Amino acid sequence: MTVLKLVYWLVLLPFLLGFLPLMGFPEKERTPDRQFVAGFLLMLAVFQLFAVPAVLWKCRIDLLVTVNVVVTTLLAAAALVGFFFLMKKKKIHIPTSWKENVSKSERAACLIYWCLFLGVLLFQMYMAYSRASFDGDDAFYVAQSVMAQQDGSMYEVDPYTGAPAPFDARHATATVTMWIAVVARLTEVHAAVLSHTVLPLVLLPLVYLVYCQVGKLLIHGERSRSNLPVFMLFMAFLQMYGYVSLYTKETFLMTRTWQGKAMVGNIVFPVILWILLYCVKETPTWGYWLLLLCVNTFAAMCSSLGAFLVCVMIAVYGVVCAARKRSLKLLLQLALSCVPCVIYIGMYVLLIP
Amino acid sequence: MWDFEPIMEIWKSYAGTGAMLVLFVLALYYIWKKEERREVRSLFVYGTLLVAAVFCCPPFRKIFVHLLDAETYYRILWILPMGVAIAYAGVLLIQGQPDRRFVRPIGVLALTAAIVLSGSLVYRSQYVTKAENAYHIPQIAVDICEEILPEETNPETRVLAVFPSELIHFIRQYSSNIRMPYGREMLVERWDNERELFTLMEAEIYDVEWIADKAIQNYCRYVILNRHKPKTEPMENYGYVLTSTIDPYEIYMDTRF
Repeated sequence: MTVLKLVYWLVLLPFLLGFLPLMGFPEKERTPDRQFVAGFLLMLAVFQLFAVPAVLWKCRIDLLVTVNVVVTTLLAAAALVGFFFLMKKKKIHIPTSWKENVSKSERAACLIYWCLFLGVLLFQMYMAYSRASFDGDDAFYVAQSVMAQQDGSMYEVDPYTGAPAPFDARHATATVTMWIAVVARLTEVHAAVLSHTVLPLVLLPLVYLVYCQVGKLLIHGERSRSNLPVFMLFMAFLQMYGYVSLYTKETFLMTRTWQGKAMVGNIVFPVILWILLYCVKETPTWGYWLLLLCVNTFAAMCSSLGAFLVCVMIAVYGVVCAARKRSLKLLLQLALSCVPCVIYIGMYVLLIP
Repeated sequence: MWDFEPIMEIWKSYAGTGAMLVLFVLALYYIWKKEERREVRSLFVYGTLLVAAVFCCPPFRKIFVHLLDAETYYRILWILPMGVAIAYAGVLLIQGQPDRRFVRPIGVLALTAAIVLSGSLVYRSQYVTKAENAYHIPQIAVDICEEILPEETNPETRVLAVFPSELIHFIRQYSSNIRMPYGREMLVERWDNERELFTLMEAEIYDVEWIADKAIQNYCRYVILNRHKPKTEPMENYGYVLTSTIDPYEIYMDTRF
């Protein structure tokens, strides 16, 4: 039963919710992989919207659990309606067959490289499951989730000692630890088990799904079909061998997957890169703007610094995109997408004594 | 105002041997040369140069440190699409080779080898060990927690216990019903904390009289000691009983509670 609950909250629900942003994507881009990524980010962004007020009003986590169930159920119902609407109009793109112009050798190469990539990914997932990585910050973040799950309090107790402490305004807007606590409550899995053992099994594939979207945009021309798994294979090795210091985002991905800062570096920034690449090549539809808003909100959910860095990234790369496309409108749209981050940064500044 | 030294230090400590950074620069150069789509080229090359320029700008760092903190400044480098650029340049390189049978597999193998040789395998890290349980915390910490946790847990039945420093990271990751007189903050030197009980617990010899005194002052019901460290006298002299031994730790309970 626990496994079913985990599958629902971490796989099925994001997949269902993905139908909502999917409706805003161009028809050919409505694929299951994009749906899952978009749904996951939508689920987390929506959580952040009601979690921050709940934390600031010093509510118990029970309220957050109830609101989360109600809101996600309503959204899932809306998404199902959207799904049936798309199905009825045959506007969902499910890749079922090879293009006619793909040769036999190209098919074989494609299959081999995908298998190699999947092998590396499975190995990484196995290692994430079977290896423990020590990180001092877990004494704060994981203990916060454990406390919220077991006691129900949010940011009101010192996680290191358990002593009553002044309200922790610095972390109040970064609610990813509370999301973990809520999922832990809903699935009845210990928050430490969820963080260390279960979440990497979902987040690692999610990260590669995002890189897959980036790869799809970059790789074109002859043999593009079999070059995509080669790109993914390189990405997988780069993550595994990216431990050149303790500070790289690759190190964070492999050793602290469950921490907000690791999610900023390895989910938020690649998603923004994907959207910016799309912006510079095509004219984004509303689905992409919704995705950008979601990922920016999610950045604030991960860490206050994440919200700030997202603004820096969009400002820098946005200027390049807008200059290349000679579009002031694009620059304005990108600037507007940072509004959630600016709001959360503002809250952070106001809350810090 | 224009002090580049701290920025250079961050580059150095971030890049490790620097091989991966060299690979990234080579990848950018290759993308600049071979990528036909100008918009993609611009995003990678100009975007990266701009981010690097912002990062290397001392006034920007000063503002960042003033608003946030100095320790996290390196995370700006996360914005750089290092991995994506290297992987994409690799694909471009392979794509540019003649379409012969073994050329591509050899190319993939060679570039994978370049990544492996430039980087360092994360699983070789001293911080990565075989997990002892699903919590991914040492089993000994779990066993001690189970030993001292009351059967019924509610806010009234929480216990306070003092642990050796090597365990304090893990206790509250397992149970929030165990409270501690000090936690991880005592281990981070730069936070400049001081607490007598911590100093006593970390001394080479357990000064039992003082530990017992400070533990009762901190309302600690349990004191967990490393049995391999010498004690000035038995804990039993001060109203403690040895409830169990989970090697190498001894769990003492204060009978005065």
